[in-house]
Amino acid sequence: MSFLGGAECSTAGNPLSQFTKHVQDDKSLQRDRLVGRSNGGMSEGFRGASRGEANPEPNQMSALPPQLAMEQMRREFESHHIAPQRNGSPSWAGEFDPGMGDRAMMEAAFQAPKSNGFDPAEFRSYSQRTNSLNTRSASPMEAATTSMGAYRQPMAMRYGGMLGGNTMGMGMYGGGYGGQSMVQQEPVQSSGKGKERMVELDERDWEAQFAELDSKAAEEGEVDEEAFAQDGGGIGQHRQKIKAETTALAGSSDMLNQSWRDHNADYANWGGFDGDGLNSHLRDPELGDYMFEDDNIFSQVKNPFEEGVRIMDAGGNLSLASLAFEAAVQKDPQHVEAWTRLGAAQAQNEKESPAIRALEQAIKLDPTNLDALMGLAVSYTNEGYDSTAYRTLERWLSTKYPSLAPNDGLGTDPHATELGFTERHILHQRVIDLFIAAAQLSPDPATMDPDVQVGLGVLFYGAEEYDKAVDCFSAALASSESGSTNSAASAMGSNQRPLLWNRLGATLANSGRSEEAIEAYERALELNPNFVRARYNLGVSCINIGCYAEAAQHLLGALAMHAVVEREGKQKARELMGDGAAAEAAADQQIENIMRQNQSTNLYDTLRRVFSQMNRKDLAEKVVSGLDVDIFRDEFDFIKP
Amino acid sequence: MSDGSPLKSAALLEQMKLHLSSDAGKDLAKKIGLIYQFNIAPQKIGVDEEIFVVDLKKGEVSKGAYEGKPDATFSFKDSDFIAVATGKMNPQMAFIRGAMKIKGSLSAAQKFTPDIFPKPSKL
Repeated sequence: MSFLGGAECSTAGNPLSQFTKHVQDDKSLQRDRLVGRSNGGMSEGFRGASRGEANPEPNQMSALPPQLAMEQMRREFESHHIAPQRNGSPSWAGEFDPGMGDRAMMEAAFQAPKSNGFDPAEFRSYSQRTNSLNTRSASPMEAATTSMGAYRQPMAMRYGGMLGGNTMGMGMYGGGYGGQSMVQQEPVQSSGKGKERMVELDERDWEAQFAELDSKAAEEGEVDEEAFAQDGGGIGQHRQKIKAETTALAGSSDMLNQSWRDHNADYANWGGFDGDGLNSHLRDPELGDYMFEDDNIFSQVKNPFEEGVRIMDAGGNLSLASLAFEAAVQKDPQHVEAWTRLGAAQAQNEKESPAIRALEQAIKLDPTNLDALMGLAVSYTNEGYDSTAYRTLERWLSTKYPSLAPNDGLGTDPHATELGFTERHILHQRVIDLFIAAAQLSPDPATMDPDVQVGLGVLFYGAEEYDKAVDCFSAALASSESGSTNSAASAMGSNQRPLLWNRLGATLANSGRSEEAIEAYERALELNPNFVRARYNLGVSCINIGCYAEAAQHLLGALAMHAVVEREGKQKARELMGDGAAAEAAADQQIENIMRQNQSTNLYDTLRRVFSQMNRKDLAEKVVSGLDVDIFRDEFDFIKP
Repeated sequence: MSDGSPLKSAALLEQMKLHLSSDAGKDLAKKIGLIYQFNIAPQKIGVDEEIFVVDLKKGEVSKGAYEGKPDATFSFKDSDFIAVATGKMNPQMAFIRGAMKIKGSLSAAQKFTPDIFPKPSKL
């Protein structure tokens, strides 16, 4: 708005500003329905909305009797054909920017149309009143919500005040535009009434009017539902249009994304769901190449791979290990083992996407790398890419036991084609049969291949046959604990046990046995306290049994592990870069950058969820990307890595 | 697939059933106290839908249409439902993109969040 401020004041015919209005119109409608009404005392609204509506008092949006709004909007869509094109105007971002002076924006919006006798002073007093009504605590969302209010103004402007009388804000327009809009649009009864009265109201009556509208809205709740359902058709049409537009909007989506992110870290992933990305669950994941941290403290190390192996073997910090392996593959992109270990480290560090990317790279270089295949199958399963996981396991088996499964057909290419439901089922059954055959090759627990059991466990897990999966993982554990030579043959042999305990735990947890799962996770963490994934899972299980405070502890602990790079990394960087203040400053800068990338949104999301279930919105709001976990130490006692 | 349904959502709702019998699940029923119906289609909304009812009044999950009027009915594609229920997609975004259709009370619909589903653990 500020960007176009001048133009908007000078003339309504400015094409750029018209464009902006189009853009604003459409989104306002969506917001109106989804956000505006979400604050009926319900703190568990849509995730995006919930933070915004954390404050229980009604804002001006909620006073809007939605039945009327829907009816009118629908009409409006019929009468005004909204031009579908959109531009990537920077004002999008600007409108959402909480830092924007909303008062100024509103006033600008009011002054823009020339043909009414509106008094800005009156408006100012109104908006002050609104602010005092909304006795909000100072939260970042306050600005956001109010600026959203401001954001609506241009829309009402364009609609010639047709929404007037429904809300306070709109009521002002009713006053301003009265003549024009009432002739044009003979709105549903109470709206007209409201509008006329609005004009007469003096400032003191606003509040009464507010309350009345509120109670009216409550009374109309039932009717409103009906109307909403009926209006579904019209709205649906419009939404289709919007959907098409969204695609056209791709150019500006970056900016949009940016502004979403400012409000709500949940939206950080929005871009990832563009277009067909949504359908990925039945398809093959397309994650692309591995994204490296910008500055890697290990890039100066002579042999980063060995360094990484050392960290992993010592059960050290997984973020550091990942960095070491990253440096290794950057030095030698053909280093399959480094890619594989990078994938393993990232997976254990509760960073699934980087793990998959790294493992896929390893497979690209060496399609027969058993550890990479197994790790990949597990990661695919976690992300819900079931058929891809099955094919990966099939490939694993045909590599290790070529006598059982000749390496041909589907098995050779895990990215073959998309499978239908029946085919997926057949594939699943076939792979299970193969693994069972492999297990029967050496039924003796002393000599059995624990990896076959793991594969079988993953397969049963994917098919929700949790009891069988539990048996498989238990068998694999028993085998690796009895010191079987086979497990030592695996490259990750010594690290296998915590992994297995965690897998056992996850299986138990997903079959509803949270208490047993917690025991398993604790075993995993005893063996490797730095195992972030197990810690995350432990938190999840605590949520599922309703122990939120404990859950928060574990999740914060996991985040603290991630943050360790910050501390150890700084020291490490100093060692590597030599002494001196300059080096120190450079290191700090590097660490900053490292922290920004490859974060685990999953941990943040889960932590936020815990806090909101504890009814601690104040804490939930603090959970933003790059948070300093130490701010929670006053309230929660969690591990110091 | 335990009950023969090809939908991944069916499995998730199966887990939901277990979740609702836990302490956290009971809290949930107390907190929300609404009845949701989910029409889940394998590929395209409205085609070959399977209907599930998540009754957060009684704390039950059942298959088949609700007898009476659910507080809100959602239509999803299987994969979109999973994405929303596992918190990968914001319900608001799903709605805007047409990946989720809602019938019934909007205020009830807004209490539908990924938080009502159990969080899956990871292998």
